[in-house]
Amino acid sequence: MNILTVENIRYTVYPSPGEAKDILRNISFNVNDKSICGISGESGSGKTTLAKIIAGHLTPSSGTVNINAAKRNNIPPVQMLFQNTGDILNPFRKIFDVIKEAAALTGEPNPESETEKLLDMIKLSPKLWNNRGYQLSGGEQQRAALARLLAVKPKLLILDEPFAAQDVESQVNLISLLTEVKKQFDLTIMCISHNIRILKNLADKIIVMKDGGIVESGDNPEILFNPKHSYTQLLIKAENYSLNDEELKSLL
Amino acid sequence: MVNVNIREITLLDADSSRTILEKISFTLHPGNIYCLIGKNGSGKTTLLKSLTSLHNKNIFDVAGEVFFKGTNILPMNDDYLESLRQKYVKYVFQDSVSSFNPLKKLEYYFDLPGIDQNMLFRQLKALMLPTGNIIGKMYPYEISGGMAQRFSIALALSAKPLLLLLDEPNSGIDYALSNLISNALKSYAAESNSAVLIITQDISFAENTGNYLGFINKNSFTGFFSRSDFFTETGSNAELNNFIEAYKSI
Repeated sequence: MNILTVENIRYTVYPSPGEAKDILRNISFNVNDKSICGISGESGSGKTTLAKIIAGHLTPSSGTVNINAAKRNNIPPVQMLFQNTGDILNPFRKIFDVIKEAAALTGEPNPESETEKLLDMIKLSPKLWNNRGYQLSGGEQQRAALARLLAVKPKLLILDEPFAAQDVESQVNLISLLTEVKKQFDLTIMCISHNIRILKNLADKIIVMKDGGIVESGDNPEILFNPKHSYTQLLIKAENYSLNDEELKSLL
Repeated sequence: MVNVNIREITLLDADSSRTILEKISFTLHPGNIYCLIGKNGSGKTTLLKSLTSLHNKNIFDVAGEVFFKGTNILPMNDDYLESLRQKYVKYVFQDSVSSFNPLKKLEYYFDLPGIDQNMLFRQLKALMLPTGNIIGKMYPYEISGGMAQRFSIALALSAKPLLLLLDEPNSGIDYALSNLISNALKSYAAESNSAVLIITQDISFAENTGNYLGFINKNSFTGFFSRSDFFTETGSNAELNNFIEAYKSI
């Protein structure tokens, strides 16, 4: 069953009067329920714009997004973790309270114990539960923000570059946390990352984007072992730092 | 040649102080790229800043010497350090966008003392940025993070510094740009008189860019080894092995 069906999305911006630019065009794909879908591509390929459209933060110029899940207590079933995760934690509120408040929104009879469960799961030390967001490290803020999203029991979770600016050990820990979260919450996850190598360890399906369009999509790991499109081949080659200037020119 | 001998860097707190780095000695030779690998929070940026006394002296205390052209520069006053940085040392910060003045168009930087404009325009091309006429008319907030990062590097290279320091030049940018930056730094180092010191957490960037590699972790520094010897010479370093394992597993 598909939890998400995207059909023919186009998103146009108008940088100056009379000038139109398509940020996204002809985007169609679907995502299976309880799977992890990775989206990769260079900076500027439209990954974040697409995510914002699916999360309902932007309206496409044309095309449709169908989400096969109902709202609970008027809370949308899609939640998105932005790149600057710290920003969603109110600096005046304690982490525990922020998450408890979100848990209570779903009508959860015991938000307090639900919050404890969530904070345990994301491995945030109880010493930090009563801290404010800005008192946590970047990685801790990200996990706390994730707990806040999980507190409203989403069906589809979108993560925008969750691995950027993390060292490899933190990346490994986050991969196992996400795998665990997906299992426990019966979630579908869409994960944006310019790092195809990380998606290899996480995603069931990978979509590769370039200049606002999808160049290739397929199951992991087949798409990485046998990339059909020359752009995907170059992306994989780039991770080994083995591109020459000509190949770089075609990527940039 | 730059000789560094840092005995200790201490983090000063209101009622206590804590050692964050100790016993770090190395020498940087012109024409070479040195990559210092380390995890988040290992003290990489603090070390890099303290080399030219850019660290916040209310927070950090640095004990040791940094010899630049035969002079220990750490005890020198701000005027001396400022002129030294202007003439001989360039630092590319991790957050490039905020290292530019938001009220000035980028062409403002073309005329700064020490900038060789021909070299700058060559570097803009090598780093696949718009030409000087175009990018010069833009404000820092009009360019993307990846462009700002490359523009900072182009500026730093065109000042032909004797010492070039780069703080995570490829963090938060995609692999294609990372390749481009790696190539530009390699061709610059090969034909210049600069010693280049890069801190990074990306082992494969370090392996492909540096002539010499070193690993730093809380209280230990492996020292710099040539690229071909680094992994064999540091084979018994448990922290580094964990780091490499994690890297290989993803």
